[in-house]
Order: sequence, then C-alpha cells, then structure tokens
Amino acid sequence: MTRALYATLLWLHPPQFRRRFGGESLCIFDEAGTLAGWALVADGFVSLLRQWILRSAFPIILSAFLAAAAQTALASFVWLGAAGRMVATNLALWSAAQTPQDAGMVLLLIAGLITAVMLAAVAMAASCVRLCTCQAGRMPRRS
Amino acid sequence: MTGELNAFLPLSSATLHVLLALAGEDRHGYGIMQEVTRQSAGQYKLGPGTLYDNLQKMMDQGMVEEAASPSDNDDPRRRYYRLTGLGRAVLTADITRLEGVVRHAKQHLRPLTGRAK
Repeated sequence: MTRALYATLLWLHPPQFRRRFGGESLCIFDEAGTLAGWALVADGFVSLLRQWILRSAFPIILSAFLAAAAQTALASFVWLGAAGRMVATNLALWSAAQTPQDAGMVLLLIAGLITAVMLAAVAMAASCVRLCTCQAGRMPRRS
Repeated sequence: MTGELNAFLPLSSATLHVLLALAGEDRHGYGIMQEVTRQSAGQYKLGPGTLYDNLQKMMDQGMVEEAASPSDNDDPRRRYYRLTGLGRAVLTADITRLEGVVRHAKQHLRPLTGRAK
C-alpha cells in the first residue's frame, strides 16, 4: 500500500521532475524496503509541495491568472455600470428625440466595452502562453 | 576563479554531503543516500526528494553530471552521477572555508571552556 501511495505522490510531481527522477525515486523505494516506507512517503509529500511551490512556475502562473481575472472582473463591472447608465439615458433621449448623435454615443460605449473585454482576454491568453512556455522548460527555473 | 567559486558558498548541508559522497566515486541515488548516512554516522539522513532536488540544482549549476552505469546488469531505472571539475573546486573551497570556521571556533571556545571549569 505504501508503494502505491509513494508512486501516486511521485506521479503528482511537476512533469519535468517526474520524468527525470520519478523512476529513480521509485527504485530507491524498492531498494530501501518496507521499513523505510512511511519515511519515504513523508519525504515524497514534502518533495511534492517543494517542487510545486518553490521549483515550478505554478505560483507565477496562478498570480498572473488571478490578476488577469481581477482585471477582467473590475473592467467589466466599471464598463457595464457606466454603459448601462448611459444606454438607459440615451434610450430615453433616443425615443424622445431620435438624434443620430445619441445612437453614435451608444455604439461608442458598446465598442469600448468590447475593447475592454478583448484586452482582458489578451492578458489571460498571455498568461496561458507563459504557462505553456514554463512547462516546456523554455524559461529559467526559480532557484 | 576564487570569486566565481565564492558565489556558490556557503554550501547547504545537503549539497555539501552530496558533493562529499560523490568525491570518492560515481554513485547512483540510493548509493549517495547510503554514503551520506555513513559519513554523518547516521546523524544526517537524506530522502530521495531532497536528494534529487539538490542533484537537479547542482546539475543545472554544472557541479554534477550524469555518468555511465558501470555494470550492464544494473536496474535500468538507476542513474549514476559524478562530480565535475567545478563541483570538486567548489567542494574544496567550502572545505577550506569550514576549516577556517573550525579554527576560529577552537580559538574562541577554548577560553570559554576554561572558564566553565
């Protein structure tokens, strides 16, 4: 049972570490015998946390994703609030006056909203590209 | 060169023990773990997680490299590691540093020991 648990912990490590040292670590487990089993499982658990938190780009990616999500949410909130108010005002004016300038204002606001959403999407895509680049090992490791 | 070596110093306990274990001969992971336990008379035990984390770092820094397996009958999962010239130089520099620390400690601890008596 401890071997299966240890193998699972190794499998949960970042792919780069797992591919490079997973087999060797399991080999050590097999050689060390069942007496060292639980100590190695504990070591594997600590290693799992260390590799994900300190050695992988996961914290950077997570923070970039959260920042992008916060930006999107904030921008959407502001733009939707402003646009909603303006649309309501302009619709009232529009139904009363039907001036082309008012219709243009509404379109401008909608275009602005779409631009903000697109900018946020680009920021999130950039985060995803960073994630892929880090996983492919093209970025320097954190020491 | 000394300035370059100083950038690696002081070595962490794990790094020092791994480099020391590899100073004598090429070893595989489990061999390094056993040698570290033997060197420290069982006081310092290295798990595979700590060992491979340090080995990865040392390989990135060019202090350790992978070596060919000395036997064909070895477990194929096993990999052997050896010290590079840089690794040996860094280890020597750290041992010299530690000798200085021990010398200082002896000078300063002697009067204290005398007073304690």
